Amino acid sequence: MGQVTAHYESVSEEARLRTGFGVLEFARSQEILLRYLPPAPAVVLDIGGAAGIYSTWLASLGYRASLLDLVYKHTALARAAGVTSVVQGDARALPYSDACSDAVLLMGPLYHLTERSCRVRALAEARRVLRPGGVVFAACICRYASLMAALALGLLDDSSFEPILRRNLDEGQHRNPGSDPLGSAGRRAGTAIFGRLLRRRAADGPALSSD
Amino acid sequence: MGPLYHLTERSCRVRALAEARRVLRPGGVVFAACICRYASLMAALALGLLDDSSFEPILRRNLDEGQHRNPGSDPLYFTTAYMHLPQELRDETEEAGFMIEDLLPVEGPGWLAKNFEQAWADETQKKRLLDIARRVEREPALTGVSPHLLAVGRRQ
Repeated sequence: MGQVTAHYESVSEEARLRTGFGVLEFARSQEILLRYLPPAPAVVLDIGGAAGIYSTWLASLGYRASLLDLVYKHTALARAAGVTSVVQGDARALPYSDACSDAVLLMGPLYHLTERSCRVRALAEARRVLRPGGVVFAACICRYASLMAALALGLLDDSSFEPILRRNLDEGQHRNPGSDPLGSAGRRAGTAIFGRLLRRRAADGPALSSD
Repeated sequence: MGPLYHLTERSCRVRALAEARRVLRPGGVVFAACICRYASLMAALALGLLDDSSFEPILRRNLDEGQHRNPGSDPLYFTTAYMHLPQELRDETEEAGFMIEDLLPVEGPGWLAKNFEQAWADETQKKRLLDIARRVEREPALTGVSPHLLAVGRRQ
């Protein structure tokens, strides 16, 4: 996790969804969220909410949004942006009580939990804090984001990117041993094609599908 | 490597495939190419045609029905054609009596490379483009990114 937090301390996540391909990701995510969110006012937990881009938007629509993020810089930026309830924490152990929310956003944590068991734990935590009938929005980066970004941005001639890409395609594991934040965020360039998963907690509360 | 593009009626495509089967000895093999349903879409994005309003109705009908028509005179926009979904090529080949040996994306995603011609002219990058095509050729989530698909069918 140290590498991940260092990455976010050094790049501007608060600008990512407002620039480049990020604007398409943000516009489409808003559209999909509005398709499934309960009407405002409802309690929304924005887990891994970074600098608060979703929380501030949701608050402007009348939702009661609370934000949690692992990165201290993000929590400070979120408070400065006007998010009223902000806490630094880990998506795998949420500091919220059971069934306290109507919707949970996981628009980032699944990117950086490289172990499947940790991803399922974060999803199970989201389920725990949702009321029965509540909905989780869980975003992932698609296996092919780096590939498509490499093609679109013309990175094929960068031999330092080739082993990164190869491991991406073969295992889905993305590592950037170098210092170029573009490499660590092959994802940044590929945001337009990020996948979206959506899980709804059934009213009678069966175990959350983990796949 | 062409007829299925331009036979816009399903029955005609199955007939062409059945004719291929008739002229093959038992055990013989057919290679049947189609244009993928999303080829126009990917080309429009890669070539920056989103601002051409004459292309919009062409693209819309492509996506909705798979039917490609170019009522204008710009040869860039091709001619009368049918754009297959991957499953449709499989179904039509099977309906003509073939066993499907394989169904593969031809180009894969590499054709979307920025400055493609320049990359292809460079031996290292050319190898990477072909390696990418092989590496993802079995991934259903990416099949539709390839402009052409190739079915390999065997006459029993």
